[in-house]
Amino acid sequence: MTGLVLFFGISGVIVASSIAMLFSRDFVRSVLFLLLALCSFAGLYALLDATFLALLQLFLYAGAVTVVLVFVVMLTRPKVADFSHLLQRQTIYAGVAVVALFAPIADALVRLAGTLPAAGTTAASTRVLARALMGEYAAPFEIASLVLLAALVGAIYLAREAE
Amino acid sequence: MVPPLYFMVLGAIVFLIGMLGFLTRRSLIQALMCLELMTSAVTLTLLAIGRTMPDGGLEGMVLATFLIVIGAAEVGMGLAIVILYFRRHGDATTDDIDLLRG
Repeated sequence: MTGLVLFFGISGVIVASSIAMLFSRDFVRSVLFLLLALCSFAGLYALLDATFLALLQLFLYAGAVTVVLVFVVMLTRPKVADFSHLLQRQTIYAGVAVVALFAPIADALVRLAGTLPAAGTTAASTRVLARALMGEYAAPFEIASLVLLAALVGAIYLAREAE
Repeated sequence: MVPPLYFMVLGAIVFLIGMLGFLTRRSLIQALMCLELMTSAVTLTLLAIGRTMPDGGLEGMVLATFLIVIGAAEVGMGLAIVILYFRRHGDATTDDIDLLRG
C-alpha cells in the first residue's frame, strides 16, 4: 500500500518535472527540473529493490551529469529558450512520430498486462549483482570500462583549446 | 510490491516526453537533457521487467548498469561536441548544424 502511494507520488513528480524541464525558458532552471526528475528516478529504482542502481543514478546522473550540464550552460551562455517555432512543421512531424511510436508501445503494454508475472518476493542483492558483474559478465564489464576511457579521451580531445 | 507493469507504463510515458523534447528543442544542450531523461526511462523499464524474472531482477540490473555507463559516456561526448561547436560558431542550436546537408 505504501509502495503504491510512493510510486504514484514519485511518478507524478517525474512527469511534472520532465514537462517543466521542456517548457522552462531559463536553461539553469531546466537543468534543475532535470535534476529533480533524475533523483525521483533513483527513488523508483529503490522501489524496484535495485539499491545499487538507485545510488548509481544519484551519484552519476544527479551528481556528475547535472553538474557538468550546469557547467556547459554557464560556459556557452545559451540564449533563453525560444518557443516561437512551436507550431512549425517540424513540431507537427515530431508529434506525429511520438504518436506513431506510442501506438505500438501501448499495444505491447496492453498485451503484456495479462501475461506479465508478478515480481518475485526476493530481489537480487547488491552482493549477487557484484558477483555477476565480476564473474559471468566480466568481459562486457571490462569493455564498458574501455568505452568510458575512449569517451573520456575523446571528450578531452574535442573540447581542448585549439593551439 | 507495486506491479512492474506500472513502472513500464511510466517508463514509456517519460520516454515519449523525452522524445518529443528531443525532436522539438532547438538547443543542443536541451536535446542532450532529453536524451538523459530517455535513458533513465529505459533503465526503469529494464529494472521493472527484470524484476519479473525468476533471478530476482539480476539480469535487469546488469543491463541497467551497462546502460548507465553508456549514458555517462554519451553525455560526456555530447557536451564536448556542444562546447566545440559553440567555440566555432558562437551558438549551439540544432538549426545551424547543417554542414552535412546534401
